[in-house]
Amino acid sequence: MALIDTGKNKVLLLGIGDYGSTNRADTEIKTMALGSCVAVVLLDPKTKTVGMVHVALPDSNIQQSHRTFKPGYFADTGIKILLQDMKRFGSSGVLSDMYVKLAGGARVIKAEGVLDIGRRNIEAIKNILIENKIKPVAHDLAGVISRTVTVEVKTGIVRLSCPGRDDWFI
Amino acid sequence: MISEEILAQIKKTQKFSDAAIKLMHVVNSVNYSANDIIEIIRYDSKLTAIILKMVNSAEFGMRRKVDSIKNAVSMMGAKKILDIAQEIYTRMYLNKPLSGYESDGMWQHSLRTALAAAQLAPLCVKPYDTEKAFTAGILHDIGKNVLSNFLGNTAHSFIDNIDRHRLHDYLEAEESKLGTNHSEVGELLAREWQLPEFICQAIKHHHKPSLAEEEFKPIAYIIHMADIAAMLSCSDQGSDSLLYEVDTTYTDYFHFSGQELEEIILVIDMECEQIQKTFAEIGE
Repeated sequence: MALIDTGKNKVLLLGIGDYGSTNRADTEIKTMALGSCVAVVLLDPKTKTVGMVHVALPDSNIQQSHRTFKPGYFADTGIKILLQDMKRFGSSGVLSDMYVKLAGGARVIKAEGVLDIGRRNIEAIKNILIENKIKPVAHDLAGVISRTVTVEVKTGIVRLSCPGRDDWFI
Repeated sequence: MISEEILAQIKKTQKFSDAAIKLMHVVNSVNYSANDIIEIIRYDSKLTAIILKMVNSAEFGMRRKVDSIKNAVSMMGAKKILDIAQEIYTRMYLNKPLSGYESDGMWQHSLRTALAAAQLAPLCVKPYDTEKAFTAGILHDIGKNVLSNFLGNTAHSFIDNIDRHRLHDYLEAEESKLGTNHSEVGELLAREWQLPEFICQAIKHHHKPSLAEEEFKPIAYIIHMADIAAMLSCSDQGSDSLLYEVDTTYTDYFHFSGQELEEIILVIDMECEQIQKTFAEIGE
């Protein structure tokens, strides 16, 4: 994770498995080139805090040591650690208090079954949302699209971009 | 049919250093010694300097200063130094923007493919040498360095045609514009540089491994699957990312489960992060 000052605004740049949150209106949170990974964006309407986690795999039981080293890497531990992080800005830490936006979970052409890690990531995240009785307010998932995801803290609008395509928003 | 302009570009394309090409041949030899590697690297001053910077960085945690390639090999092993050398010279070559693919550089994708190939090599039904798989993986997309300038601003229309199912994938898109693709051109470039045959074959067939000759099918399937794993783990290669078809006959060569594939991706991410940290620390 790195905080970059572009002169115009600040960008909190997340790598694979990173998470970050802020309530600063002049900041964007960004993660680049999602393949099968999913960006989970949490928006807290009460405190105007915005958080994002770059989830790479569905289940942390795959490797115990990495769960401790990089909890944001997995769907199950990633959402929990992000909620915890958002408490720094007065958020409740309760998922059902948040608006959720999701992007990513792609695959290559004809990749089905074991190769479709994107689908497994999406299912794992959606199951967590179902357990907490909430639905995403917006999502852009699956397909064969590499997505760079940027959320503007001031508005909560998520910009999606991909080389060779025009930007789109959720 | 490849145009005369593209063939001329293949001849003009900047070559790896002599040391780099020699190291690829060392990988291909069955029994290489530590001395073979020392003798090649020590005469390439740039490569030597960067290797010593890397092995003395905090990431490697060496207790005393490593001041020669001979010391580096004796302390870390010939295989590790060979890996580091390959990471360095491919980074110098592949970390350049490719406008035809709207890419900032192919190195990270190439490195991820190489790391995945080394993971996949022993899992193939015909297990393959991990070092050779790593080398073929890191070079698999070199054809894009030749084709990039010929593609111009085609990315938008290629993607639109793939989305509308007018074209199968990016390989067919390249062919529709240029009459060739980056696999075919990459193979010709590898032959121009006289790289070992397994590298030429892996580059040629990495998108359609079922078309490889029997002898080279294992390496072709390994690089095909490694390329896919790399795209899934981080699709930062450019406009063509994810827009290739899986050769579904891969199941003849691999029987991994979803969880095993996830473990491979986890290892790629961990190793890639480590390597990038090291390069960042030494300022290269």
